[in-house]
Amino acid sequence: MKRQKYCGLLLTVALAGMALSCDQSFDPKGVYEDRLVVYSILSTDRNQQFVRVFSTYDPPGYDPREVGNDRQIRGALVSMQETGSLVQFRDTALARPDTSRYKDSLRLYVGAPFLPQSGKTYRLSVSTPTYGMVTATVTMPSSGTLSVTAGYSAVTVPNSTDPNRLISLHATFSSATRGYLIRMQVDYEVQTDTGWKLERVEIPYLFQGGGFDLTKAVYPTLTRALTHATRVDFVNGGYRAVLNHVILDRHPTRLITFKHIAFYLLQAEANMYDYYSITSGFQDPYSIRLDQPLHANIQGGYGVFGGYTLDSLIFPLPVNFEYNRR
Amino acid sequence: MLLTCIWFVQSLHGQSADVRGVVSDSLTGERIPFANVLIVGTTRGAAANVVGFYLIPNVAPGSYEISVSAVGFGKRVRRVIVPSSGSLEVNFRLPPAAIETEEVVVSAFGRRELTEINTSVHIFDQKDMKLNPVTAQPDVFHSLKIIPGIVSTSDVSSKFYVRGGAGDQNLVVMDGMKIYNPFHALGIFSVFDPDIVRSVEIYTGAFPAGFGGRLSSVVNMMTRDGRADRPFARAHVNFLSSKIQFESPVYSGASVLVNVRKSLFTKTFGRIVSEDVPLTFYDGFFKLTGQTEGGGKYDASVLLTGDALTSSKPDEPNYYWENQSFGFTISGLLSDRLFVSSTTSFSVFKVERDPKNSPFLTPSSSTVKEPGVRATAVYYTDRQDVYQFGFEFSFPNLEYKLVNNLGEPVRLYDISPEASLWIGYQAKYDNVQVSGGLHSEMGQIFLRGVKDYYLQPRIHLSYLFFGNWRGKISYGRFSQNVITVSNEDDVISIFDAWIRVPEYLEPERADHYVIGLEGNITEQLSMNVQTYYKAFNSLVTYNRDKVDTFDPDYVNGKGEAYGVEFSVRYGIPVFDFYGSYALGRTQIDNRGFVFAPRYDRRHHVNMLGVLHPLEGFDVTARWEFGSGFPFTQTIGYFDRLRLSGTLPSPFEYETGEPYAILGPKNSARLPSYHRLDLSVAYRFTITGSFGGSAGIHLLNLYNSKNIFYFDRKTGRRVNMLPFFPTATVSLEY
Repeated sequence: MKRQKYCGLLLTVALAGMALSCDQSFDPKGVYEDRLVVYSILSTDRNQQFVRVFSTYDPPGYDPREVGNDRQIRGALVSMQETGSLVQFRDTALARPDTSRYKDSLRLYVGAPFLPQSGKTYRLSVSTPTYGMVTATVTMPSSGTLSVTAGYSAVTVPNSTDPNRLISLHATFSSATRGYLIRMQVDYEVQTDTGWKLERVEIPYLFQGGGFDLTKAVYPTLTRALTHATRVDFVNGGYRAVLNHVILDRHPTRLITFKHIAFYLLQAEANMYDYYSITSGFQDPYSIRLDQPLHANIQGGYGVFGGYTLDSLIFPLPVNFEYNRR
Repeated sequence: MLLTCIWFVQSLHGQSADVRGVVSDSLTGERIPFANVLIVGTTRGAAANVVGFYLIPNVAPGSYEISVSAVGFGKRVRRVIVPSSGSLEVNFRLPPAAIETEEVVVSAFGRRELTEINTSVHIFDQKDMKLNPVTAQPDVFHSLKIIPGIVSTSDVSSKFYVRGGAGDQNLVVMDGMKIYNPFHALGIFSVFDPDIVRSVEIYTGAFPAGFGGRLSSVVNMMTRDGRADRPFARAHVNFLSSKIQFESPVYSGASVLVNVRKSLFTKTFGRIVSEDVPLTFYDGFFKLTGQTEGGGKYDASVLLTGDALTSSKPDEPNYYWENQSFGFTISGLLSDRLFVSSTTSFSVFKVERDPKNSPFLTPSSSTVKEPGVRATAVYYTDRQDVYQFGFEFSFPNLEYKLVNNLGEPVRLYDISPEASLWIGYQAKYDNVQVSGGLHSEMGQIFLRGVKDYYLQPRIHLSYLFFGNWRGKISYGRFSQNVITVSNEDDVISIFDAWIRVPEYLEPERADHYVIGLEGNITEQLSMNVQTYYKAFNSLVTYNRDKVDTFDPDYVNGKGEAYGVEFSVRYGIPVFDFYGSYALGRTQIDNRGFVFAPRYDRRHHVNMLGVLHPLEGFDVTARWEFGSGFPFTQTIGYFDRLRLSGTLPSPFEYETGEPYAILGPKNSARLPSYHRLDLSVAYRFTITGSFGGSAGIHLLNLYNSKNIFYFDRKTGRRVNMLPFFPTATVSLEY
């Protein structure tokens, strides 16, 4: 009798469990918000600027690659304002170089002629009837300074200079600069079947494991500006290795004339620097974080509105430069 | 320092006649832990320790009856003559209850906790572990999940979370050896076969001074000794694995136990997790036990485990896990009243990921090697107070290798020594029982300087109101120096790497406050209610402001967990019932950004009923309900430009990559979890010593579709165990 009673209790518990428990639906998607996605990076080295305008999307399933067309927005009103001046951007199409995912042409907005000024603040405004208006602001860094403080002889006569000789540069930054990039490049002309062609090659600033093996070369990257000035060194051996690479590997038989050595100082303001760094694995070789956080500075949307200024220091190379092949 | 303590407490020792001895199984010779020893007609008594040793100090000369009882064993009473000085050794050999059926066996969820001072301790023996319906094969950790305050994010995982603590905040110790990854098969099973485990102490909070280095819980496992009376063999097969166990006396007073398991039918995994999981595993346990005069005992234990998840597809990664743990424990009386136990151990854990041709994954590995020594001493005073002290010294070697998001190989390596000392005192004053102690992380003090959180008080007070109704209060402070790292946004993590808390951060630390009330409503019905507050004063959390290499990966956050747990137990010879309800809330505060961690379960109900309709038959039903875990919803996508390439890059030509926009972190909840399991087990004898057991287990009887995880990239929902009938057969000789 007692056993029957407890069997009954067990059964009751089971039935109660079933009654209480009904399968619940579940959707990993939250409430979708249709928003504008805007990208624009202003630069002081060209007189036309671009704004790309997209929208977010909600694929019918869960795979975002189901969406077969680029969610580019046409017909938006895009303008950029700086005290006293307003630049209207025009809707334009460009051929898409990578058609592996989307086949249609690139749609973007061009402002031209428009050369942003160092130190100025620009306000971007994008509005569409469907998505409303989004805005963002960027302050371009003021021009910096760049000077060669040591190793100038290596620039002009690298072969006659100790390979370990450093070519040192001193740079100063604007207060609006969050990140900087100093690059050393060589411009040269090479004779082709159709005439002389200008090419450019970059000089590494570091080599892993000693020596000047270009396969172990490390090139400058965008770096946080912790102070308003810095010093960067390039080593003559690396410079020579690149010149040798050009005349021996890249163009072993053609005529070559080396024209300039150019040092560039790129100053990125905070929005661009932060976005670039976060999307590039925090630019942290020691990080063990595997997430990719969202970074955006578009009010009411996603994307980034950033900018950089570019300053350069150019040294013409002598006509009898050691590496010329005439 | 330990010797000074010993000298100090020994100086307190007066001349008296002590009654002491060991309690063991009359059949196998194995020591019986936690037996109750009472001098009949007095209030004097003692509880045996984990190696079955007891000591009742300062007993007046005369003739007494001493009774001994233990869960699952028949009671024994013996008359003794206590001399006027010195000590009297009285050893007891208790018959298993199966032999003396007239004894009322204390039910699986007996009332032992009521005798403890601690608020949050639970003791499971083999019977408790085997009561739960079996998911393909019996498992120690699955059975622990019935304890209120312990939750698992899935029923296909043995991984557990205690009172709002993260999965790496649980200290798992087996015979004194630390086990860093006690799981098989992506956490579906633990590496501990219930047949080798004698008892498990689970502290869900405010654990005593003898344990440290973790914030949330301690699972302290004691393994069985091999049979010392005769050779014994057991073969077991189930839908997943096969096992052979062998025990035998080897020489005078010594025995050996060998247990080997190997996965057989890997396709069973596919049924369990609704996916093709090409996984194999093995584990082996070896133990040599010897006993010496005066209650002494020594054990040499070896645990070897391995898992391999090897996919035949070239673009799917392979994973490998290994544990190797070796321990030697010696315990016994060092002087009349000083019982000492010391373990020398070496634990190794390795996990490796081989991405093969996977486009999304990179090679990664994590290794922990930890040699260590742990010693505890217990001194019994004249008035039955107990002093405890001990130390632990180890050198954890932690190595983590990975290729990070920048594509750079990273190697983290740390070999800082860990050293801790503790001292404790336990006393009884009429209706009040007190246990207090101080745990100090000396290694951290040497490395990082004196901080108040390295001196960790542990206090337990218990007041007996009437009958066996007790009120209890506990407080403890804890810190943790090693943690696992994984992507906080991962829905499931199958690769947990251990690292030391970086030097620029404070270690993780927490304060536990627990208040409880427990007692018997009727002779058969007991209840226990506890409420806790856990302040996580320091946690290691993502640095949400990280931009570049100048910003640390992690920052110190804070958190809190609080809740109330209620449980009832009902036991009569024909039926046992256990029910529990836990209400909890956990929040993590990452510098002002507050969210619930993904293991924050608000409501949790467990009910277990065991019917014993016939001799040898057990019918068990278990129902579990848990409210949904937090998760982060996807609220859309956009094509994110990376601005990749050499700067200044022509971003206007770039085609972006889909990027999932996430809603507020963990603000949504998965559906509730619920499941009913039913099992019937029968124990039989074929002839003489040859017998065995057979069981049928019906899991998820009404086929509840409990979500395991969803793949954010495809939206595919993977459910937990569907209706799943299994059977087990075990033969013993």
